Amino acid sequence: MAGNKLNRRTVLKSAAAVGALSIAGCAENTSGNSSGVRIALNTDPTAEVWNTHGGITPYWTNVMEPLVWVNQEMDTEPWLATDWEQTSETTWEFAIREGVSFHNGDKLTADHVVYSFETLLSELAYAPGWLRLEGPESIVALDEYTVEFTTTEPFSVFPGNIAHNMVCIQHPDRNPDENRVIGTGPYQVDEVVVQQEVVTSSFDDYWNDAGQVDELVFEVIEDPNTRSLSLENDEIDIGMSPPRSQIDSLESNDGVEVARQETAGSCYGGFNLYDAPTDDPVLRRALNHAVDQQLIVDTILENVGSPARVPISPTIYWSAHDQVDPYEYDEDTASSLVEESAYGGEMITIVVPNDLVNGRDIAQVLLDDFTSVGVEAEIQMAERAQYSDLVRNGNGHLFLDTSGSNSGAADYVIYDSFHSDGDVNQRRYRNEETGVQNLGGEVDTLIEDGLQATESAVKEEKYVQAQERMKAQAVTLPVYYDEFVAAYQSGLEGVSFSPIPEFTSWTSLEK
Amino acid sequence: MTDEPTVSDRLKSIGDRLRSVGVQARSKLGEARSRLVAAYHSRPVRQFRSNTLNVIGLVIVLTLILTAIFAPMLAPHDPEEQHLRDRLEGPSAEHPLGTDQLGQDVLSRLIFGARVSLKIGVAVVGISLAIGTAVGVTAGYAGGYVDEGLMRLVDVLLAFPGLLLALVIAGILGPSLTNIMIALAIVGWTSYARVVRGSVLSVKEEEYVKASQLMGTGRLRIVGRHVLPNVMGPVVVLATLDMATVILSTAGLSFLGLGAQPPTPEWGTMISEGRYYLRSAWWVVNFPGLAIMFAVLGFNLLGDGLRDVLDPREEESVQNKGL
Repeated sequence: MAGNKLNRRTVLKSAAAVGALSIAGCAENTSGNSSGVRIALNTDPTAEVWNTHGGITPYWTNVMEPLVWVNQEMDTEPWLATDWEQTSETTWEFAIREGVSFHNGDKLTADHVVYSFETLLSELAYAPGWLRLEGPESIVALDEYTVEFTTTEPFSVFPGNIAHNMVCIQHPDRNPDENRVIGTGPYQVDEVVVQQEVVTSSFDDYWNDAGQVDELVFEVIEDPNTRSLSLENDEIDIGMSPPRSQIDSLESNDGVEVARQETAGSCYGGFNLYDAPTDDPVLRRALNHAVDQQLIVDTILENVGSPARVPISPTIYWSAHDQVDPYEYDEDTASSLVEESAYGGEMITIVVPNDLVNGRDIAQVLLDDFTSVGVEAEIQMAERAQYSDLVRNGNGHLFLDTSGSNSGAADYVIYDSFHSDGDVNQRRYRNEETGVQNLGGEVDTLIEDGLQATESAVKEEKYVQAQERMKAQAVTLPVYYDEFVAAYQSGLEGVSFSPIPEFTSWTSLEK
Repeated sequence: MTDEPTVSDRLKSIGDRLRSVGVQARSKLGEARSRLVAAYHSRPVRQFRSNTLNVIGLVIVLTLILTAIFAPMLAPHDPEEQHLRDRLEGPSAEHPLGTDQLGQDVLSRLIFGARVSLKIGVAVVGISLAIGTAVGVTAGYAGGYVDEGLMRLVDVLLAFPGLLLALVIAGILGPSLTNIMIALAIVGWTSYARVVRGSVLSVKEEEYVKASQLMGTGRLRIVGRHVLPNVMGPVVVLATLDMATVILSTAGLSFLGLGAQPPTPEWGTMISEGRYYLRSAWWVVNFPGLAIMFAVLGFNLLGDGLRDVLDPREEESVQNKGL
């Protein structure tokens, strides 16, 4: 086949053509657009899981809004609802803001709110339990601008619970099949490129302060190294969660700024209180003394976050961080407590979900620390679903994970993990009258009282008391309080993040 | 009163026995040496030696095996010993390949990682070879419905992308090296079954097999004495090449978090854990990467060499086709 023979000229021509195409491909990015901002997320904003929200993520994008907002102090704030009132133990009336326009021009009314909640309840299997709402009769439009919610049980934190990105208000004309998303936010969807990006533009009729930049593009770059490189190469303007190992280098880069924000999240190990050998509080205290949290933060976490004392982040106002003393790192104390305890050389299994960032490394440090005070340990990495099962069945001795709140009501953080009837403990508590991380008795009562308290001071008092008792019994091994980090081009102004980073508003962003 | 041997008699007797053992040993050693020399100069070994790449492959594999066997003596540090304050230190006299994100010695972890890779390789290839050979011989020798049934099962398994199927199996069983072995063995035996069956179909038509059948020799005996020894050549070649695939697959599955549980040193896991430090500490990822590359290269070169020696027809056919 002499006709197909390659000669030097053909090779050079092909190389030139490939080179030209590559250059053309590389040149095409919108970060050069003076009024557009490209934001790189670590998850796909068009993932199928967001079909309930018209096909795009309600997090980050500012396209759809909830009735209640969460501010920098983790307090609830009126948003699409201007006011709310608890009218009985289980009923709430919300006044809907007047004069709010959807992206298609229609005005927001109570019917839209009813539609949005009904959609959520029918499309997300977990929504009824999460929101304590069941059936269409639980959401009723009393008039054009008033909605009544009837919860399945007395639920004092209902307004905070619905202060969540996913509990947003949508127009009935939304269509996930056509990626038609209709919200009320400061940015409206222009284009959705599945598995790649969502292009949004500033919405002129926005009811509040409109966005300063004309276009926001949310793209997915899953690999943190690639996100960091893309930022340094000026291909994106903001990169969420750069690799921790790159933060120092980014901070020293003149063209890049790094924003840090304490979040409502924390990482801790929850002990199995009902199986030997971790059923012994003396051993649990020993293991708390054996771990140097500061060293973990300084090294593995590269100074992102801070050492934890309790499992509840101090950004949540009822955290007992300031009220309790930490278990100081002291190997000698730890060793003597191990000797004093009933520990007889059993193997302690540290269970870690494989999607926990730095989970493997932290677990290995814990294992090393335990070994150095004479406690045998092993690590079991588990896929997330398997991990959930292991925790709920109490198959293991120390369950390492993060915990945090994505809504204005962080109560579930304490209830689900430490109340006997909470999600983590319920299975064993109901089947065997035991549990996993629940002390039960007085702590259960304190958590229940805190949950039902309508006054912040009362809630704080009850929850702090519960945490003090948990700390005394070393129910957990707190590791660190989380910190959110994002890097952005230094030409950008108005970049600030919320303690729930996904609640960040981009309206003050300027380029 | 009996004459008891004196101490000097006893010593003399022991000395005589030792001398006799020494002579025997020397004779045995001499025999072994001459056998080795003869083997070294035999046609297959000469053919194997004639290609430098084959020798390189053999050297790499032998190095790997010796490293795995003598890991505790070769490793300069305990592979699981952490020094958090010395983390991510570059190569130095103390740590020739640097330290990782936990301050563990990368060289020591690589050396011990060779054990894990070889252990899994040998186990998976061994299990696959045993199952595949049994199925292949049964199908090829029995023929008929048995052959049809077994080969359709092989076809079904081969229709799945191998690594993907292993990924699913390992995912269901949960992360552990044992589960990786099971997953890879479930996927891996089919190729052996095919190769063995093909060879058996050819061997069972040979005159000596027919003669054995006419003499009334039992099936099992025919298979054991005449069939198996004549089909093992291609199987050994396949097994050697398969070692490379298994090492690579194990590293891949471990990279995805389905393999070794921490703190076990495993090459794929080392790459997975170190990838976040690619830009700031290149040694954490690149050295395990190189180890995998050399191990795979070694087994592939050795496998190619063995194929040239044990299955020269393939080379001839390639040469005849002028490729």
